[in-house]
Amino acid sequence: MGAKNHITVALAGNPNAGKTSLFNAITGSRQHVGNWPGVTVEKKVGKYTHKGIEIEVVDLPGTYSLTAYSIDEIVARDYIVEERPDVVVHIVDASNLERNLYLTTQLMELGTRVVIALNMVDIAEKRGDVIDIEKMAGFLEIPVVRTIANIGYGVTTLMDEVVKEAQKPEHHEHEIGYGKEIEKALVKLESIIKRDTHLVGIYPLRWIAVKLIEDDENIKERIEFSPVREEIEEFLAEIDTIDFEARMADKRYEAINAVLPQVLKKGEVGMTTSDMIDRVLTNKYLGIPIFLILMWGAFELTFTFATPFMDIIDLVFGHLSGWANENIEPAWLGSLIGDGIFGGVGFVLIFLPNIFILFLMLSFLEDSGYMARAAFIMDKLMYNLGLHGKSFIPLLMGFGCNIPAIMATRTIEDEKDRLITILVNPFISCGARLPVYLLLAGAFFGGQAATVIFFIYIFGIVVAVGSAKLFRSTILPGKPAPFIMELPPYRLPTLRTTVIHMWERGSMYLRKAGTIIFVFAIVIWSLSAFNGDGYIEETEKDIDEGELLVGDGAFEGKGRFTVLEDGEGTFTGTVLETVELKSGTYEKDRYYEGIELMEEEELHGDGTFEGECEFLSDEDGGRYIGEDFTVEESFAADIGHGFGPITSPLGFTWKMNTALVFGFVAKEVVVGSLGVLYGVGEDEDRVSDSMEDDKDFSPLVAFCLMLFTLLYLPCLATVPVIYKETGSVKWTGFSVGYGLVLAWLLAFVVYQVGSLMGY
Amino acid sequence: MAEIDVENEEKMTFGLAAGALYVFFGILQALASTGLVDIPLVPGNAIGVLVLVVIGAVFLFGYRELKEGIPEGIAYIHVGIGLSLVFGIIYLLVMGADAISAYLIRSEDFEDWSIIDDVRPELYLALLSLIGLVKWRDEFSLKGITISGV
Repeated sequence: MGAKNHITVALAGNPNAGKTSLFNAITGSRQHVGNWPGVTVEKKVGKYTHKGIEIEVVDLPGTYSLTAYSIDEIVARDYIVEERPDVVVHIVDASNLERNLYLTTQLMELGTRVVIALNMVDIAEKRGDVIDIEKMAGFLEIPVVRTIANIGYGVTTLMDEVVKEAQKPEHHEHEIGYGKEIEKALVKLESIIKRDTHLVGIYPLRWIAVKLIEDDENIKERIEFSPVREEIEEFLAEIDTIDFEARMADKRYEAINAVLPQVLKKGEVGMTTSDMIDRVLTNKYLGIPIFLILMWGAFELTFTFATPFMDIIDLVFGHLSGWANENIEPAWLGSLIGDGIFGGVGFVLIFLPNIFILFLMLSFLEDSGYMARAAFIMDKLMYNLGLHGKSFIPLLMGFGCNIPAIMATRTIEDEKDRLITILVNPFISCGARLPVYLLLAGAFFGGQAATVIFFIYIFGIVVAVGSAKLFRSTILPGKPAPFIMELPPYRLPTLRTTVIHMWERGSMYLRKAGTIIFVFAIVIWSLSAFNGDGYIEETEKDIDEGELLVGDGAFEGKGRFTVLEDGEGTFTGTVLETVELKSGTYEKDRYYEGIELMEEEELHGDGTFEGECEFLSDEDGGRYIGEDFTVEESFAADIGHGFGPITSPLGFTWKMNTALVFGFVAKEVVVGSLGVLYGVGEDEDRVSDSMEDDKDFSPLVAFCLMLFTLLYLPCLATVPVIYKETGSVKWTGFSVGYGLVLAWLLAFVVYQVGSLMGY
Repeated sequence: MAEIDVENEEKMTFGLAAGALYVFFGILQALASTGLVDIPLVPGNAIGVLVLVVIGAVFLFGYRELKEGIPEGIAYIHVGIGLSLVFGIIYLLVMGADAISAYLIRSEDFEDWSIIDDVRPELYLALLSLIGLVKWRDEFSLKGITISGV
């Protein structure tokens, strides 16, 4: 037999053993690595050439055994059993040998060629453990290589062994003796199975017999159409499979424990640093308050530390927008680029620093191992509310993006637990919703903005667990499965990995800004700049008392003129309040001709103003001729007005409706839309000011809009993922419908109660 | 009472002092949050109260356990120091960001800003924890510090 020049290698192992770190070290990829069990939920493939041999490396989700329960475990097991890779590299956590070697025994039984990567040996050795690798390889009759995957240590030696193992002409089969009674049953079962030649051609005979005794659902499904199915079932009915299964597990551990004392000398260890930290962070009284203050700290920093960086981006886009409006001809193209693209996209990008800071901190908490503890401390509460403790990690992942979070539910074994977690996940505030909160809370809640945003995030969790309780007691009755989760050791995350993880998530926001948000900024601008008569270039209209208009033209009437940052103008008429301007002091009730107002100057007068300004009409209203951005008669207004009857009980105006409609595409579009529709897109302060000046936009309405944005719909990209993961149109439709109804009801209650209380 | 060594006695005293100070300033901040009193260097902030009280409670848990002769109680002192420093760093970063807004960007919102505006209990109480960190710095490595014999 000639040497193979192409081999397939599967990386298998217990959750959080370092498979993806090893995958990245071998293939040079940058797949997401996390310090909790269940980061990888589907297999990933990479290529690598080692000494002229092409190697396909497959990173599998973690599994404790080849008897699979959750979807991610089934993915791993099916790949090993059915795809039959040339070699399985079993990544064994050196600091937890006994439990990790259980999977080794099963891989050996399957007849797979195995190479052990003894990973995290540094941690084990620092703890004082001494592992005799040569003895271990000798006893197990499997090559064993020391690795520290996160720094790439041992990778070349490992791949040498992998290639050597794949090229071996013969493979030594391993068997574990299960004792007389079980062995007798296995022999009998094998004699029945071997009459099904099809089945025997796929799986090793003894392995099928072992799995059938272990009551493996997946293998039982495979014999459904077997000609010997009835005979197998009759035989299994005669034996006590539960007792046999337990005894078989005991025998495997016996085999492991026969080897372990000879290869491992454990260090004398009392309480590790991880144990010490856990004593406090998982304390039954302090655990949840500590979790809350850490999350609060993350939001405080997200909101306040980002401010100067937001200002800088704001300044850049402000100039670009101003330049485009002034220098690009024709006017509509200038407006498209200035107000539409720089306004819409730029206004979303302003929030990029907040997104990156929040993700930086979440990455730090994840990489340190704290998030696994958060799941642990929330378990009791979650269980009482009908959610599985394991659900908390997908919920936490939802703070980044609901899509990977929904996919992460594959680690949950019980179908009902998993379905509930999928259905409630969209209520967790993803990063895309943060700009909406930042804009609205910043405009209406001043110094309390961070607290309001924190509250909205917590409220999302409350709604998620409340909904879980509701589903559990109505449409998906039952008790959540017990929660067993391995707590990984705490690790001090490196700046490099934390920044990479932050970038993985934050760059998604950046990509969206360059694609979907860019497209929708143009769509929204087009809808707001056109009506049935074409481009809204110049209008002539009356402004009623108290109305605000931002425009570049001529205003007549009694009101307050505020010159915009990048413009200036001239006023002729009676000054109604004494004002001190750069050009001089103008006294109350005196008539002036051609007062020149510079940027940001304000004057209260009765007369005519020409230029670019915000005009807030006084008691008599006024008249305007010029190019305005109010878009009252545009297609966008038609869309917004169409939803008026549904959203007016929530206090929403047509602009909010239009923004929410387009927010279904991506939640950031809500912000971009408000930026365009409030007509001064590129400048966050001015959008905030315009919203504050809008008499229909109160703090109560802003709060209801935040609530509605939090709950109303999963985004366009999340809906197909819900469908894929539930495999059901019914549940996907339910997820969308439930969110909409709940959002409306809660916003209605808050708005109506708030209004009655005088807010 | 169980016998305790000098090191733990120091940590016990530290836990009591730090815990009491954090809780005391938490109460002051709660008063300031009502808006009825104006306390210098203690700005009102409802969630800030929770932060101070929780950190204080962590220290006091440590004090109680050490006093009862439970050596694992030092875990609370260490984590208390860690939490205290985390919040100290957060507010130091906030102060830095505000200074950039005020002096470099010259933002309108920060026209009257002075460094004193951002001085708050989480910041100056973290100095106490910094002393603890320096004193017991060898115990703050995640790389294999163990308490033998526990």
